[in-house]
Amino acid sequence: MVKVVFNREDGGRCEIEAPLDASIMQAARDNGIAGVTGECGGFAACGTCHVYVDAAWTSRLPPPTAAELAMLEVVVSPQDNSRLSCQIQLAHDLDGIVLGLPPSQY
Amino acid sequence: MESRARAEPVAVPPHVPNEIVVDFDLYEKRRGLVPAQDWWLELRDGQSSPLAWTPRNGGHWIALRGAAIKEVLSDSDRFSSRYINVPRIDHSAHSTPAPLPISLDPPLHGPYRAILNPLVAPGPVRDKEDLIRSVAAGFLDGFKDAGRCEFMSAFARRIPAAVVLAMADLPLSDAATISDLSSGVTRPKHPNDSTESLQGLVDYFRPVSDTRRGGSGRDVISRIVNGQVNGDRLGEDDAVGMVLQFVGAGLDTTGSIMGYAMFYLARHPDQQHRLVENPELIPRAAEELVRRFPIASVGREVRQDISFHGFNLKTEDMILAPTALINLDEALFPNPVEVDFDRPSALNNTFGEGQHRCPGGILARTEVRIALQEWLKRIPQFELAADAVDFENGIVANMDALPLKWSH
Repeated sequence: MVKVVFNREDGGRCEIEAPLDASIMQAARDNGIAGVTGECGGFAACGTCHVYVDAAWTSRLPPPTAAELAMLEVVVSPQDNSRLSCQIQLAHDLDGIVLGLPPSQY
Repeated sequence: MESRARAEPVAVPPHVPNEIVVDFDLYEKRRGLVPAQDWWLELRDGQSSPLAWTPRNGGHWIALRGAAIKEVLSDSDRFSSRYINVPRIDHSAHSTPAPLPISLDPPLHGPYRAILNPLVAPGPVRDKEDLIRSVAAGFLDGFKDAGRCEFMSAFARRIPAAVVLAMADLPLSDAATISDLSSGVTRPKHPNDSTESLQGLVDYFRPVSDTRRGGSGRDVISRIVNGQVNGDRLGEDDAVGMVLQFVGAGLDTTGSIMGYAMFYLARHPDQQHRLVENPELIPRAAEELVRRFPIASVGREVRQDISFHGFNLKTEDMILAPTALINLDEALFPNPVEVDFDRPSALNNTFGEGQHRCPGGILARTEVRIALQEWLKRIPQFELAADAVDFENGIVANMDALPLKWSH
């Protein structure tokens, strides 16, 4: 299990423990993180599992695919550190990763 | 009353046990006050088995429980999207381009679908909200003083048509033509209607697609026909197949959902009142109505002989996956038949499951929500202006007309 931290816009913070075989989107859904929807179930198709990756962690992630990059342009409130959490697979070196939740997925 | 000649039943094949054979016609029409979603409940509740089989429409299996239906929709290793209509539409035999990417399996599906996803993602849909609101308001202001309307033709079909045609940079005056052809594919009025209507759509969209190929337009058709799959530009037939599915899907389905939602509200003045008094509930109410009244029932083709929920399915068997029986499965949603605006928000399957989940779901739900907001602002109390409604099931369930009236 690894730890994942979600920071909400309003300053609220939520920590979850998730298994290594999950994507962050799946882990968020399994733990009822309200700010992550993940409508399409993990195909980088819907843009509703959008998160902001804390600066300390961005370099540890594999770069987004072309399909994810295209979707990151059309999520709500995109930033330079935007990612689709369904495309981030949890791994040991991501233990403690800190993510910001956008104001809304829609 | 049955007004359409039913497709002749085929013989029950030996691998189908007699006890699960039902006389079920997907394209059934009924006049009454029971919406098409609830016909699925009648079928399911009359069976103890998770699957049924009908000899109508070429003969096909029907998955009846939420978990099984989700498997059929999402497990492309066992269930192919090569054919999604019953009876099958064989595109190669009629030289019509197959609708894409709905008829593709992985690994081909993903790159095609990636062309469509950004066009209807949350950001662009949010950008369309003002357009949707002004379109809805414009139609409403045109008929609200009349005290009555035929909801489907005056409102429900016009909003998605106006929105998708604006996105496609096509004249709004073509809405009726495209909408009728689109209905012919999903709810054929005679045995050859699916194929002929599909040909009509192809004849409309091929010249438009050809004209915009190579251009730099930002409309959805230009974005699709100039899209790339694995580094190569889409072929001409593929481009047409993508365009006609994108535009056609947006026209037919959203209007049907609005129709069923308003049919419910028209008969529940208490719920109307609650939304008028508490308009902040409308977004949740719209989501709940979309959950309660799914309209899509697509098929899949069995890829190889398999055992599925205790039955032997053979290669090339067709199996139908009604989304209504996912959302109305007690195992997935408590008291599923009840329309409960306070139901906790949860993902539902009106727009399908897995990689083929409808990319336009966010747009459709936004249209339903805004339509409801604008309607209730102007027409806070309304009722059915008929004793019964002509409902129609199909790949996309529909209703011919929904007459509504109100005091003004």
